[in-house]
Amino acid sequence: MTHDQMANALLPAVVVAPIVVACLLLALGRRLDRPTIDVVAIATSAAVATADGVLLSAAGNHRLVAWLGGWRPQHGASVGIVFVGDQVGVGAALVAGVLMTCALAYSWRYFENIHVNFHALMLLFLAGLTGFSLSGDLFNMFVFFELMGVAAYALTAVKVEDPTAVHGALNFGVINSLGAYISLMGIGMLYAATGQLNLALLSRALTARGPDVLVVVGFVAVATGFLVKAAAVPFHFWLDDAHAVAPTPVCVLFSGIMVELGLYGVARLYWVAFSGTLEAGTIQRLFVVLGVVTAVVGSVMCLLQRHLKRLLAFSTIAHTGMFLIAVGSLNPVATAGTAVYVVGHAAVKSVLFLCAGVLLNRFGSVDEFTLQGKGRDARLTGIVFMLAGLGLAGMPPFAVGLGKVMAEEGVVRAGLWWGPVLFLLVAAATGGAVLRVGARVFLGIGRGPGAEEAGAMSGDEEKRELATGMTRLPVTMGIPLTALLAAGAIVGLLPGFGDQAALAAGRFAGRAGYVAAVLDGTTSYGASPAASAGWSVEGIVLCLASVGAAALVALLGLYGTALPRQILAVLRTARPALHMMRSVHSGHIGDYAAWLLFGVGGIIVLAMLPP
Amino acid sequence: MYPYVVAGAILFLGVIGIARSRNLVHAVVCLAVAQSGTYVLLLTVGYQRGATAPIFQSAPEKAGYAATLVDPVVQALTLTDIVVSATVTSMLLALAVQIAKRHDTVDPDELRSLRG
Amino acid sequence: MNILITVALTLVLAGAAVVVFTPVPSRQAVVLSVYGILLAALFMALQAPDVALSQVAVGAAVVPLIVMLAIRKIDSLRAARRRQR
Repeated sequence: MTHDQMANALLPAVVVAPIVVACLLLALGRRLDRPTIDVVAIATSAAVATADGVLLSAAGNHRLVAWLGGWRPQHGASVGIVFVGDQVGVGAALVAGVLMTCALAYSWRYFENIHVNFHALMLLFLAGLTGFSLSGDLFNMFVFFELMGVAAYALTAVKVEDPTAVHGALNFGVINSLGAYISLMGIGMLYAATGQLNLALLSRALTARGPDVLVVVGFVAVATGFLVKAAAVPFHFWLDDAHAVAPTPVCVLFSGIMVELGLYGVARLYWVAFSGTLEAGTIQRLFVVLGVVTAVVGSVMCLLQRHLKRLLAFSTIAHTGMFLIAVGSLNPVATAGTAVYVVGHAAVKSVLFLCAGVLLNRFGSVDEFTLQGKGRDARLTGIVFMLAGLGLAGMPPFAVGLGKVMAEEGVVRAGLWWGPVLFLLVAAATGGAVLRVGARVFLGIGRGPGAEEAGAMSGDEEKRELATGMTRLPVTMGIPLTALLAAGAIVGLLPGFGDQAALAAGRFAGRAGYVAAVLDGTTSYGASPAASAGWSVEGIVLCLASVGAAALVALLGLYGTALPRQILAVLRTARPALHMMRSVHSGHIGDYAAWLLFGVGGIIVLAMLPP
Repeated sequence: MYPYVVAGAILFLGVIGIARSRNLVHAVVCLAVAQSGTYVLLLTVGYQRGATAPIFQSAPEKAGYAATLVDPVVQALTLTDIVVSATVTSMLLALAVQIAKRHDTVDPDELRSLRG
Repeated sequence: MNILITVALTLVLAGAAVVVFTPVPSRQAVVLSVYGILLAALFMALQAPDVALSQVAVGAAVVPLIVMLAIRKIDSLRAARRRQR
């Protein structure tokens, strides 16, 4: 078997294998004991991750295309299922596989009362994530989108006896389903316009047809559905509810890869199918506006939280805003930066969530003020948490910093001169909030809650996942924790990682190459200009600046109430605005649906306005 | 044009229904209504396209015969969609039952656990 | 596009409005069932008999049934709570 054939067999296998194992587990689960189920699930997930790694190295040489059952298109029409792997797509699948393996390993000792359903759902979730990354046609993107959605709602409500969990899962399910239906409407419109669902064929048909109202509305509708998953404001409300209540290992996957895949879907759709049709300026404006609003709302809400998991959720929203700006700038370097950023973010954010899980199981709370000083003797968790917090703020050598610098360079090249300032502020706010919590919990410093923090959702309600508090950190929880942190740093130090990412982003944005690979079988990438991107002195200085700013934000958070009265009086004037922003996050499903409608209207206006 | 308006209006009605719902079961039913907008859109698209089904390609092409056939791809999509809808609806209803059990209410206005 | 389809579309739209604006869930389940049959009629008019068939089975029978079961369950849960107090 040649290298090629192997890659083409592996491409469908990484999607199908977890589904098959999940079904087997569901069928036989009652007869298996818990360790067997854990081992099977972890082994499957690790095997998928390994296969993703093999595929990634193969995708470095040429695009991988696999038609399921050999149903290739005939006479320009296709009903076959195609998987396409380039470095960005396979890379996303690899991140999903690695995070899933870590999450499952962590779950081994983390949960006492879970059954085979949890493992089966996790594997189905993995299949959805992987399938979405590799899918080469629009309807299968939708199918995998729904598969990961349904698995995710169910996983959110795994702790069914927790009142907040069922509430959060319902909000999550309703809003994401609405997003999926809007996407499906868009798919219907695009099919009406072109008669194609395959991305490559769609691309050809659209280029021949040109942009008209049906095509623009179709794109906007599909993108809106994906943006709901990407938690762009004002579609983001489900995210903080779901993250606050879902079990910690599940949050790792939500924040680390699921949200980012929503954005990946939009970018893939734009670059492959629409980049030759739609006006670049309009698209840029649409995503940059959404991104700025998302980044600002996410950062401010992140600073206002005392529930640790909710704080991390808002930090993810703020980061999504940055990713939206970088990807929406339509600059290849910024796209490359986003890819690196997403990998780095996945590593450190997962570590932070896993630490939150350790705290929850030990102390039965994830509330910043309840836990004040309690973590003093948890040295390993404390060190890992603080390092991850610094990493989130962009500390070299974490990949987050490298990605941030590359994205900043890209957005400046695309003409968004204010980009680096906003990125610095967001990194400072989100990193600072995490460092503030870390300092309070693990060092025990800082004052009590101010008026605004006191009113936030408390983290005491969270149900712990063990009957008795856990005092020692089990190996199966410690290894994922440290391994992910190390991975976040090592990836940032890999020689040539930035260059490879820049190359991969250029290929990701190459419409002609994708279409030729899928339809004509010419899978080689062709010559692309040598790209160089990596750590520079300037970049390190920028990163250290954002780490410094984050430290300042943390100090303000810890000792803000000790500021001179005049300054506090000035700060107090912002309180009504903050209070309003907080009260908008009401947990009320009706409000969320209304916001969704408002957001759809806004997006249509933004897309239709003359440039 | 009319079918698109109807499909969009059904989706819109569903979202409006969720927005002003006072009962989670009612909200989930509205979600199912919103989804039925997608069936309407997909099937009218298939009808209007009037593409020849692949299985009929060898059939003798009488005048006007091909035009009366509908696109089978969207019908397959709609079938998938109907099944997905039933799954999602029953799962969300199960969650609504759990909410009733844990919170003793299914009125979204009285659910206060996830504020701020 | 013919008269039959236009009429069916209008009926479906009206049906959707009735389902959405029926506030009491138990009555809504019945309306939903009727709405499912309206949709199936539209699908017949759109020459999709197989989809219409599954719509009758799933949309007009199974889903309203599940809705009814959920309402029953919620009612009995709340009644049990009230008795406890």
